[in-house]
Amino acid sequence: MARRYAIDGQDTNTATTSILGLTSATTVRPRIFDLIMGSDATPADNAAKYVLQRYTAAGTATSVTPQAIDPADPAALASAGKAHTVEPTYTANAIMLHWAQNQRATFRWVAAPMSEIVLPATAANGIGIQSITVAGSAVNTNATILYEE
Amino acid sequence: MLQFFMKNNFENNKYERKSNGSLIVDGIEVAHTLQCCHCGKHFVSIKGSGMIRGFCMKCMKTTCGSIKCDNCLPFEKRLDLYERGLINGF
Repeated sequence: MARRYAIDGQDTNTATTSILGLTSATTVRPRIFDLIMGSDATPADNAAKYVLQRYTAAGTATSVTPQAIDPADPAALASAGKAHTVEPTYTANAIMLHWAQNQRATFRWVAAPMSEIVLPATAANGIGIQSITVAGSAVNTNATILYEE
Repeated sequence: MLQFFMKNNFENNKYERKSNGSLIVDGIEVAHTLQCCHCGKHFVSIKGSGMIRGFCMKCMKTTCGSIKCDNCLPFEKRLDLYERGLINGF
């Protein structure tokens, strides 16, 4: 059975800002099977549109250490980052999931078995959650990704 | 508020007997997703969207409807080619 890991991050969802990114390695093909998004800001009616999009360079971000869901598993081979200061180099149109969300709502996407979103075993390639547009005010947004490798 | 959100985004979503994923808002499953067998993208199927998205008769699975996904190149094969540097991007 593949090893499963969790990563989480948060950032203000200003338009074209990445919240969380997962970067592959040359030895594994990470498979994302769960994504959870919400906001811990004071409840208000702000909406935003997000995409889960492939990138070929990870940009600059605060490092996130993937946490093994099974504590007996070794450290993850893939890496992750949050609150990017330099945005990843996204591949045009390589959008794997696209959704709009009210700040008051908690959004979750779950893949059926063998329908996960797969990352290539290529260095620096990955997938990021990026805010595309914001209606109203930008607020702090929290994201969690569960994946296996 | 939830009702407002659902009516605007998911009122036309289609029930999929064999879905590839689920969208859950505030703990309630609001839509199913299908996955393109050529690029791996997940999308919500809505009533009538079969006119836009396609179906690969070789893979016997749904495609997302993008022009680049019209020709059969299974996602696993696409990954292999990409990792070997034989194609650019997805």
